[in-house]
Amino acid sequence: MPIEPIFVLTLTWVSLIVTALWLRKRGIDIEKSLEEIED
Amino acid sequence: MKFRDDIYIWITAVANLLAIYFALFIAPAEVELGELVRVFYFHLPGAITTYIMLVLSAATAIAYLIKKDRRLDAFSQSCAILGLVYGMITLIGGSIWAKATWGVYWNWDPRETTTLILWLAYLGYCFLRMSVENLERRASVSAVYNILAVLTVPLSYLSFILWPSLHPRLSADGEFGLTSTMIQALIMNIFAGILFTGWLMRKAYKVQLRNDELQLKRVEAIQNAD
Repeated sequence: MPIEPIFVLTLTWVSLIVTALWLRKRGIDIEKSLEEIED
Repeated sequence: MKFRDDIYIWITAVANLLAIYFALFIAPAEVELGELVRVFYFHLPGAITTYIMLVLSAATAIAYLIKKDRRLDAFSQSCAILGLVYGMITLIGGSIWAKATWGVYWNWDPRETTTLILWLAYLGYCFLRMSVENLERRASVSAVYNILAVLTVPLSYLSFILWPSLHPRLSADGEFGLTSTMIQALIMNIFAGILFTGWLMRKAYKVQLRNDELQLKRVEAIQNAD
């Protein structure tokens, strides 16, 4: 099998997982900031 | 009934693994493209998701302008960001496929060019949102921009009908005919992709709502300090 399908598959999942991790980090940062403001 | 995040993500993971296995090992090679057709099972679902997310984003932007509900703006923005991510995947994945079939990564084909315009239009949407601080104003301005930007979706979709293009098409007179196993692999990948997008969308929407709350509290804190 040529390498291109594996490239595209990897690109897709790496991008989606990075997006999920970025959302998680952003969520944690926002919660921290909210706690600081409430304190 | 309470939404079970863990069960949903397990179902999504299994659906995606099955779809990938089907696309890579079960679906047959195509007559002209050979094994390279497997790129298509990952490329097309990404493109479809891009269109869906951006149309959904514009639809909720219209709903926001009518109802002025902050949750609609948060939903619209979350859709646009995910549309941008899928758009990037579609553009880069497409150019990898183009290199393998056309010999170049980028040749300004109408489909490539109009999809790049679409992507840049939504990148502009994100910059616009970052440049306006007031929540109400940001939501209204970006909703209007979004309604204009979504016109790039039909432009991209219809580009290869409007202009001569090398991009493969799935019509009866097009370059590729799909067997039933190929269609199954494609549908499985579209369905599995949409499941994962749903999960991402839920996360993005919740984060955006909390971010709006944070901004409102910051404004309140500044006003109280004054």
